[in-house]
Amino acid sequence: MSSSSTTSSTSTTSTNPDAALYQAALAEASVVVYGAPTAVQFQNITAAFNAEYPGINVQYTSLQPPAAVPQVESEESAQGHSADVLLQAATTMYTLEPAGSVCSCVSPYVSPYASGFPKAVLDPLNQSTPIIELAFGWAFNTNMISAANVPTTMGQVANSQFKGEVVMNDPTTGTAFTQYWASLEGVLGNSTVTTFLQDLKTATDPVIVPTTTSCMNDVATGAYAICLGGYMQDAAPDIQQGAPMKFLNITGLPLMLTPSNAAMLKNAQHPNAAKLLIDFMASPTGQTAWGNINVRTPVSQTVTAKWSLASEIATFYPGAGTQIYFPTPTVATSASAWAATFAFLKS
Amino acid sequence: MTGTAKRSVLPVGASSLALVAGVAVLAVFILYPIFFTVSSSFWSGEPGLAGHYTLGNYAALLGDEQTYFTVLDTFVQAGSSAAIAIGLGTVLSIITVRTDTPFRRALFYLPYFPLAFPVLIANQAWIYLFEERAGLLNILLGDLGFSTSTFSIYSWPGFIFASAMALTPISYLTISAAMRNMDSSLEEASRASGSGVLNTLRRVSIPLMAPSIFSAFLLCFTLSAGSFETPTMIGLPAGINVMMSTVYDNVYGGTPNYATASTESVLLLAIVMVVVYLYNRSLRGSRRFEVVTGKGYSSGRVLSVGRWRYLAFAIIAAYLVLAVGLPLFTVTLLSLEPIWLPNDLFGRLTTKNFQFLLSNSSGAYPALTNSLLASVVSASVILGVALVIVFAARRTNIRGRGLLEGLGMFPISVPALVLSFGLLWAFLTIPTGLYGTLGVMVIALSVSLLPQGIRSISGGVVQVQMELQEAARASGANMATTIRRIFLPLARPSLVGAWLYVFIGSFNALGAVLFLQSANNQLFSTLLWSFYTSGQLLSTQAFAAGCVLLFLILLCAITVMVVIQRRLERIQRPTPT
Repeated sequence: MSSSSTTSSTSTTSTNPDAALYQAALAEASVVVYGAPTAVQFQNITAAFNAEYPGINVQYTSLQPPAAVPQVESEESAQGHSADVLLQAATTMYTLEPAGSVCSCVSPYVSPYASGFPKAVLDPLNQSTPIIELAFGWAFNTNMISAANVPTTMGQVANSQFKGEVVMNDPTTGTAFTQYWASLEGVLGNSTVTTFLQDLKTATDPVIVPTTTSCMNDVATGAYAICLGGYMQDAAPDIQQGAPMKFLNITGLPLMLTPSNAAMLKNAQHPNAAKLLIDFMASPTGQTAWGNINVRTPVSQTVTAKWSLASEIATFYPGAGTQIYFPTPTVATSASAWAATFAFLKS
Repeated sequence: MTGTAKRSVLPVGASSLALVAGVAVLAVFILYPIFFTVSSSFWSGEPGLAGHYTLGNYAALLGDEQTYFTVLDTFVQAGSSAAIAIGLGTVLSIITVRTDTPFRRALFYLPYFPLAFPVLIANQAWIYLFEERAGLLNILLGDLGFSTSTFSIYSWPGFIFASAMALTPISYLTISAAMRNMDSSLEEASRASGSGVLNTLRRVSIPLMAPSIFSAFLLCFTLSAGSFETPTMIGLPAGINVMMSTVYDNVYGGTPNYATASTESVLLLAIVMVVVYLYNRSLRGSRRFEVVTGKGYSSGRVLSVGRWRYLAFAIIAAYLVLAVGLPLFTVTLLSLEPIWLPNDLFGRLTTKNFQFLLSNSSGAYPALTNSLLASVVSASVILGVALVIVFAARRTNIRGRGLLEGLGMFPISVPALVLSFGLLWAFLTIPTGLYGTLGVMVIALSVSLLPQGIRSISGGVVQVQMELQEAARASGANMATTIRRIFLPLARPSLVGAWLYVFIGSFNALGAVLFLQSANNQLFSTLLWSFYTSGQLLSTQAFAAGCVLLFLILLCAITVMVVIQRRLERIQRPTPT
C-alpha cells in the first residue's frame, strides 16, 4: 500500500528561472508527497527535481488510491492538513476537489505549464495539474485464445465460449473501474454497455477481482483468458518480459484515457515547495523525466522522452480505438451511484 | 507450579502509586483508541467532522440482512479454520510429545518453523500453488492428466485451508506445551490395564487435555476472526465477505465509509470479546483439571506405538513439507523469476530481484532498520510491562492488580486492524508529536502484542519459588529490588524466550501498523505490503525477494528461541518418579 523514500540534496547552485518561488521553497526546506507511482519510480522525479532545485527534501510515500483517500481525509479532518502534494488519477482526484464526493481536500493550483497541454487532458474544474496519462484496455492471453478465436466485437466477448475465462475488476466500489464503465456508457450509450454487461454476466459469469492489476496479472499467468480491463502501464512490463498477453482490438470500443493529476492539498505545510514541485513535474524537464520511466507517459506531447502515449500505443496496443478521456467530474462524484447499477455483476 | 501458592505481601506504598500510574498509561494507549472506534460508530458524520450522536449506524447495519450472512460467514471461517488447526495441532502434539516416534525430540521443535512465514508470505505461496489453472500444483496435475482446476485457492475450502495453516503453529505451541505438562502415569495405568494406544489416547489423554484444547480453539477462533490478511488476499477475490474484510473494504475498498467500518468493528469487537470471555473462563476451568502437581509428577514417559511410529513420523514430515517446504520453494522460485510465468519457470532464473531489493532504491534498508529497532524496543517494552503486570497479579496483594492484568490482556480481543484505525485517530487528535514517527509504530506494536507477552512470561513467573521471594522480603527488599535481584536472574531463560517470541511477532506484524505508516516510519512488513498491492512487476518480484529475506531473518530468531527453550528444558526438566 505504501512505500516511501526520502531524498535530499544540500547543494545550493541553481539555474531556476523562478527564483522567488524557489527561494520561498528553500525556506520551507521540504515537501511531502503522497502518490500512486511506486517509490522507485518517483526517485527518478526526485533526482531530476533536486538536480534543478537542490536543497529541498522530498518525502514521498507511495499510496494507491484506496489507501491515499482515507489517509488524506483522516489527516485533513483531524489535523487540518495532510501531505503537501497529492499525485493520483483523475478518477480519485476529482472526488477530493471542492464539491467532490469524498472531501474538499484540494487547494486549487494549476501549474502555468498546463496551458501547453492538450485541452482534453486538463482538469475541467481547474484545480489540479495533469502530469501523466493512463491508458485503459482489455487484454487476452495469447496461449489460451488462438488467433482465429480472438474476439473482435463486444458481442464476441460476451459469448459462452469464454464461460469461466473472463476476469474483471470489481465495478461496484466507486473507484476507477466503476468510472470507466460509467464513462463508457456516456460514449457508447447506456443500452449498448448495459446490454453488453448483462450478456457478459449471462454468458461468461465473469470472475470479479479486487484490482485492475490482479486482473492483468491473472491473464499474464494464464489463470484466465480475458481481462476487462486494466492499465497499459501495468501490462506493459509483463509483455516486455515475455508474458503471453496482448490487448484486444474491439470494433467501436474507444481507448479510454485518464490523466494522473498533481494537486496541492488544503492547508499544505509547504505550499511554495508544493507549487515548485508541481511546476517542475509539468515542466518540459519534469515531463521528460516522467517519460524516461518504464512505462510512464507524460501528458505533454512536445517533449522527447523514451515513452510517450503514441509510442506506448504503437508498442503495446496497435490498432487501439478512438482516444477518449475520462472521467468527467460528474461521473467521478456520482461513482457510488454508478456502482450500484453494476451490482448485478457480483450477484 | 500450579499457581495456587499463597501470595506474598510485598511493601506496596510506592508500588501502589506505580500501579495507578501503570493503569493510567495502559488505559490511555489501550482504551483510548477503542473509545475512538466506538465513538465513531455512534457519530452521524465522518470522524472529526460535524455530526451528532446517533444509533443510525447500528440501525443501518443491523437492518441489512447481508450483515447476518457476513457474521455467519465469519463464524464459519473462524470456527472451521480454528477446528482444523486444533485438530492438526493436537495430532502433531500427540506425536511429538506422547509417542515414541523416531527423532521425536528434534521433531518437537520443527512445527514452530512455519512461524517464520508471516501470513502475508504464506498466502502468496498458497495462491501461486493452488490458483485454479495457473497454480503450480494444478499445472503439475494437468501434466499428469488430471484437471488443472483440481485445487482452487479462491474458494471456501481454499480460504479455510489458508486460514487454518496460519493458525496451526499457534495451536501446536499451545497444545504441545500443555501436553508436555500432563502426568503420564494415568496413561501408563491405562496401558497396564490392557488398553491399546488409541484407546488410551481416546479415553485418557485427550479427555485430560480437553480444557486446554478448548482454550486453544477459542484462542485460534479469536485470532482468525480478527485477522485481515487472509480475508483480503483470498476471501475477497473468492467473493467471501467476513467481518474483517468488510471493515477493510469499507476503508480501503473505494469511497471510505468510516461510520460503517467503525460500526462493523464494534460488532466484531463484541463477538470477539464474548469469545475471549469464554476463553478466560475455560482457562480458569482448565486449572481445575491440572495434573501437574509437583508431587508424584511424571511427564517423561511416552506411549510406545510400535510400527505406527513410522506413520506418525510420516505425518510430521508431510505437515512440514506442506507448511514449510512448499511455500518456501514457491516463494524462493518467485523471487528468482523476472516474471511469474508458470509454464516457463526454470529458463530465466535471475538474481536481479535480490539485487534490486538490496539496492538503495528499494527502500528495504531503512525499512529493515526501522523494523529491527521497532521490534527490539517494543519487545523490550512489552516484556517490562508484562513483567510488572504478571508479577503484580501473581505475586502481590496490591488492590487493582486484576484490573491491571485485565487491561493488559484486553488487546487480544481487539482485531489488529481495528486497533490500528483507533490509534490513527488517537495520534491524529492528541498532540503528542508522535504521528508519522517510528514511536507510533512502537506503541502500536507494544499495545497489540502485550497479551502475548503476558501469556509468554506467566509460566516463568509462577515457576520461581515463593520462598525465595519471601526471603527477600524478610530481608527488607521492596518489590523493585525483589524483581531485580531475585526474580529476573531466576526467570531469565523464560524471559529471553518470551522476548524472542514477541520480537518475532513484532517483526512480521502488519495489521496493527497498517494505518500508521508514513515516509519516515516504514517497516519491512508495510514495505512488503506496499510491494504486494502496487501491482507493478518490479514490485511484485521484489515482494518475493523480500519474503525470502524476511523468512531467513525470522528463521534465525526462531532457531535462537528453540535453542533457548531446549536449554531451559534441560535446567527445569522434572525428575521422573
